[in-house]
Amino acid sequence: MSLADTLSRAKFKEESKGFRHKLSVLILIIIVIGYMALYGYLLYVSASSYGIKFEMKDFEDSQPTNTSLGIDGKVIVKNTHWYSADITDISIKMSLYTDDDVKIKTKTVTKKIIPRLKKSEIDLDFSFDLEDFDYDISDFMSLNQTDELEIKFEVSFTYAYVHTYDFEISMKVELD
Amino acid sequence: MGYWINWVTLFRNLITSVIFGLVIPYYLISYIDPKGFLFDLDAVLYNGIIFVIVYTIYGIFNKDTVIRFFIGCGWIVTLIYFYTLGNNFFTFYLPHCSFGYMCLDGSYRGIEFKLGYNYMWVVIATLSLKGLNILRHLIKPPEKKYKYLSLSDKFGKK
Repeated sequence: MSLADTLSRAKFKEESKGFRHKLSVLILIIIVIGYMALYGYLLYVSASSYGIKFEMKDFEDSQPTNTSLGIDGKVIVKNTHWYSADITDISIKMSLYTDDDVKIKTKTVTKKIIPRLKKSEIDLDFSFDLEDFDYDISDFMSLNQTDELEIKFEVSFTYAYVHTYDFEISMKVELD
Repeated sequence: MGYWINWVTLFRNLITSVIFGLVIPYYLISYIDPKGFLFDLDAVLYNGIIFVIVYTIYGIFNKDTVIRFFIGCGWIVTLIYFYTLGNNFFTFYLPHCSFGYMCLDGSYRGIEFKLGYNYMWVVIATLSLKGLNILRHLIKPPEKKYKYLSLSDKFGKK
């Protein structure tokens, strides 16, 4: 008897028919409730994220000098509508690279939570002073020899505790 | 042979998969993103062909065979593959970097950017529910009302 014949004849015992019927109905109920909960939650998350508003405030770049280079500003997140959800584990990271892709310095601003029904502010202070550098000779030589700086922003956060978003923007600045 | 094949579900799955795996993405992506800024048409069509083959095979077998259960398990594995690579009907034809992780990159006016969206928990929940449904089909006693789907029985009698 071939495998195909064996499998085609594989059947459950007739006595178990009632039990299997009840079990299949129970599984069907779990599946229906599961799909309803899943799509219901996804609809809620989609609808609640639609009402979030971002505002950039007091953004200014300090004029670069021999000893400092910086960007100051605030991001205001309005997560205030009644069906909003918490935004957690926010991380904003800014890195400076030379044109040889040598990472010179990294600064990270983090915020644990932007609670629902609240307006929150995130202060950004990405200033790079001479004191921030650890006087590593290789960093110094890289910075001294580069013709352009690459500034990379990396932002990540979790919405409604389960959806994780991240985005990254790279900008290049030519040095005279 | 007539016992094994369900011609109705075979052709239903073939037509459905050709429409959603090849025809719709070809015309949709050619129209909304001809330069391939967001969508990778070649990858979408490649995955579309895999979708047509696998989904058609899934539709071949009769509902009361154990083989159908194994094919259902194979379908779960195929979905894991689709949710890992992206560029197919189940991932809105968008590219993925890993399992349940959508990623886009490009540049706008010289500014390079990358976007990522991790929805792994949604995928795991969906696959778990699909797995439960396959299990339900295996243990469920066959009912006469499904006979209307099986034209092979009628052909077999002739």
